[in-house]
Amino acid sequence: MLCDLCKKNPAAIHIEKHNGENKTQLRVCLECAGVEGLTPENINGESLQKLINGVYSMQNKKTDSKCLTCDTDSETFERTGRVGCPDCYAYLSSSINLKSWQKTPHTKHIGKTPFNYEMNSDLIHKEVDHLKDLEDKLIICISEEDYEKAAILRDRIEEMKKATS
Amino acid sequence: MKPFLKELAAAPLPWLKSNDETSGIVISSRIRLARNIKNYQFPANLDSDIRAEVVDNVFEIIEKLPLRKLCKSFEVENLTDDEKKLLLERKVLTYESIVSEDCGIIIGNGENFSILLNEEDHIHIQTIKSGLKLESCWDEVENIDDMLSKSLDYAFSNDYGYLTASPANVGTGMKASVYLDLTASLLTGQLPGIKQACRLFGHVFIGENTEDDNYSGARFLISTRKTLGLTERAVIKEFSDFIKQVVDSELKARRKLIADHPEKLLNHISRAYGNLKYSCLLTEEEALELLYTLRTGTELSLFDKIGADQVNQVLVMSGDAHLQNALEASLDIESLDIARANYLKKQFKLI
Repeated sequence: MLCDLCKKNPAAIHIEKHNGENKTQLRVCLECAGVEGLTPENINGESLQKLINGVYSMQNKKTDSKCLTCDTDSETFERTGRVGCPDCYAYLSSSINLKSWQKTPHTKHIGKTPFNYEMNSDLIHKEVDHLKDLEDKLIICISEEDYEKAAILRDRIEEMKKATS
Repeated sequence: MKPFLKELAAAPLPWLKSNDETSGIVISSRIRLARNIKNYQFPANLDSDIRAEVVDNVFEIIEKLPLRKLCKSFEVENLTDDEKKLLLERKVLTYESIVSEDCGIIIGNGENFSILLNEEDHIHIQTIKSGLKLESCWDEVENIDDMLSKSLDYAFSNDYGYLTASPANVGTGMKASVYLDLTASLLTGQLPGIKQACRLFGHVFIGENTEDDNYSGARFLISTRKTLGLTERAVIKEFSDFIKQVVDSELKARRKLIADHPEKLLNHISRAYGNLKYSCLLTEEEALELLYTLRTGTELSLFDKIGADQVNQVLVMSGDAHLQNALEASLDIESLDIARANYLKKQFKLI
């Protein structure tokens, strides 16, 4: 049985959650458990509870998202393990669990940057550009009565505004 | 065969040399850097004409750089099957790049680097060197990356770094790997411990050409997993230190095996020699296995009928494409296996 999180390693920890008649099962490998703070030296009630909370909150976070640039959706990503374009990292952020992919709690890039890349100025321009781009797309979707896409865009714009405010 | 490739076919592999620092335990080191071009979707999502455009763009940029004098560019589709197989045997091309459409390959003179276009990502820059030389592999790869980065806009994000088709590569886009001969660890049952150590340190351990526990022979690949949260040099330093410990553990296992059960090791090596001497048909996989075992014997000074350099030289020539080029013949599978057995016997003066 493979780990429910990384879908690669054999599962080593089996967790069952009973809620009345509902029973949910979860299987996690040692590496993913380690990322959530559970190590062989640190098995106790508290660390197990932390693992369970972490895993369930991660599972609940998964939503049906879709990249508006290349149409890759979360289901396709989970099946293939590949994203379709650079923008997928923004649109499918709730589905891409980098901690689990890389077996590390650190998910910030601190390596080299491209030649002539100005970290801060580019960040500001990029985010403003991206937001403006999304708002333009929203107007187009509404005018074309594509309300499904428009709803995704609206949520994404709200998320971005919240994050930058 | 194109002249540049014909020359390659006759040349020894730059990443397969006898090396003293790790007693031949680290066969080779490899660094691969994944990059994608801004405003393009990743290759698997692109139509054929756009994929071709990506290849043309990179070829044009290379043409404008001083780098053009140091390499040769090819569209993979325009290569013959033998040429593709040759580059596969030399680890310049991958299986995926051969079956995919519109891939490109740029090979450095002397094979000091290669740039594969439109495989999983738009650009994979790779360097392979003999022995444990990850730092110098990185210097080479970084140099090429800097040159390209001046002319190409890469897909990059402040938080996630270089954006790649697989979230396993996002960040630095760098994977470091070493190819190891762990004969003594295998014979003394110490592999599970090495595997466990890899898992604890966050590295990936795989048997050659396999992604599970079905090891073929005693050669294994260990590669880095992390591409986020650490700089490239920090990953390389941490990984090199880890590999040095694996090398130490293999050295200890070798010494113990030679002291306690020399017949175990000798049996392993002599059987390979016997098979090589008496086989009339040898598949490519069998030949590689036998030759790598002899290589271990020569590195351990347990086998002196053939020199280490000679084994290395013959190792590359036993691949289908290299063999056909050496024999100047195009053969079917069975004839190839017969020819290979005879060729190896002749090389080692066994007939």
